[in-house]
Amino acid sequence: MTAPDLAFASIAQIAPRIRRREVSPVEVTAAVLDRIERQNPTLTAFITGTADAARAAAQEAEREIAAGAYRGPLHGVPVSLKDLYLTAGVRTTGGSRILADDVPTEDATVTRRLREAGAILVGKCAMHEFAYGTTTINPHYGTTHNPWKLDRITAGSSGGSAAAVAAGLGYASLGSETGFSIRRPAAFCGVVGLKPTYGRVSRFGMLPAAWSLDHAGPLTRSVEDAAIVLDAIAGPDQRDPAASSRPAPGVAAELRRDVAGLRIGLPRHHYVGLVDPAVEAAFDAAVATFQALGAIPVEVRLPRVAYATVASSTIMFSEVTATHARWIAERPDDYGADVRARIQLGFCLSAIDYVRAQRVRRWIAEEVAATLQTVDLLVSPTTPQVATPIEGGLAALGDPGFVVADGPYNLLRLYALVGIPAVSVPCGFSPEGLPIGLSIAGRAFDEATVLRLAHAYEQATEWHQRRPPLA
Amino acid sequence: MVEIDATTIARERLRAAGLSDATIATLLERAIPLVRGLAELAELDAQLPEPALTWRPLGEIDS
Repeated sequence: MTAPDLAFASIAQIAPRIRRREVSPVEVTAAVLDRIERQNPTLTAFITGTADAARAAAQEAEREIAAGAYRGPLHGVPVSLKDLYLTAGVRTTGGSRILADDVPTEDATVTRRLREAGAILVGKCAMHEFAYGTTTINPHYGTTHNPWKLDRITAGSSGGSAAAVAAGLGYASLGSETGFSIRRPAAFCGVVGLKPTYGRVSRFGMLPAAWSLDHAGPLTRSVEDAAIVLDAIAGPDQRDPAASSRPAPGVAAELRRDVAGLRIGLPRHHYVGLVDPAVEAAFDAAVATFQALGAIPVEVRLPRVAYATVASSTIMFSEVTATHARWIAERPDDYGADVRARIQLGFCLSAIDYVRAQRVRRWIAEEVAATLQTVDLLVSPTTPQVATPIEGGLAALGDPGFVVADGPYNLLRLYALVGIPAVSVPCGFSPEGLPIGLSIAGRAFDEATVLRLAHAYEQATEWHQRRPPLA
Repeated sequence: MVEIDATTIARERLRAAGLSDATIATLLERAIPLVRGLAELAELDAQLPEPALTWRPLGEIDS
């Protein structure tokens, strides 16, 4: 394998070669670290590199594998973490000035589980400050650039993770989603982004944005890789009060089951004519592919979802402002202007507003659950647009804010709001060569069916094989 | 829908939180639609279930 082939291989491709000792974790890690050194100054995908520790871990992995102690498909595989996962001995900034020098003494649960799986941590990824924004334009650590077009945003808040995976700077990255912070960066950067069911993956050691909306999930270059990472990190954790006690059966082994007969719900009134024409065209072509695979498209109506944006925002703003109440009072100027304003906006909200929004949340969740009794999955474009210019900032994204109307933003916010699993997979490119993503969502704790359809679609198309035009 | 003075409501709430008039002025453009959105949610009260906040006794196995 050439160095670029090595760096852009999937976990599923590289793992058997590592296991058979055809390629060493040391070689694989060196190739990734070399790319990070060359590409990160342009991309700003990372805030903190962990090259020395990565080389040492790779040597240890090589020794273990040579001794017959193979841990599984992540053993010896370089990965990264969004910089809000506590990493023992490595500064964890949350993309903020306030935590710029914070070095935790223990790992987040997901950090520990990845280490136990033998993964090699190569760095902490850039993110929107405190995960509270949608561009990964960060005044403290720089702007993360989209590997497909460097003058475009990655989206956020997991922008560094998406850029790293898209650019071959590691085989997976762990992002987080409170609104849509895994899936929109995944869509903008042409990678897979999985938001599991709320409670499927422990939040212990994740710097909180909004406790009842926060999800940990992987960004990868293939659906199978997302399943592999999920299998490593999912499962009960007594240190997270929201973690489900359900066992997490492996999903990677279920990917190749047939998808014929799966009923896929299309909430057309939320996106037809309301998204970029290139996005709609790519999505319509994807629906034809689903049909060719034997899935059955069914139009569904989700009228209550018209309130998803304002309910999600009310809950999010309340919980985030509560988290930051002391800092925003004592150190307001240490925040970036956009995040400071968003936190201050939370003071507009009353306890009654919050409780009402939680009632709306349950009301919407009931509609979604009832719909998912009539169809197996919900499918829609991930986001209405493709990556926008960095120069245009947040305004260029055109996000409407708090509208209460049918529209694609309600779908974008829906899955974190009601906690069902959702994955974004690449489904095409715009005329300018920018990636487009579609989202597949399913019943709570049914990541297996979500990923099964995603995998079948991916394997029937070639979008996942393209690479950004980087040196 | 009941008409509300979203601007006044937003300004009063932000002032009650101790924010300065200068800060409030920078937030109003976004606060006003938020307050309007909250009013839309209030219209739903009669049909809403209990909140997604039901306390579960510690140690209870989730279903």
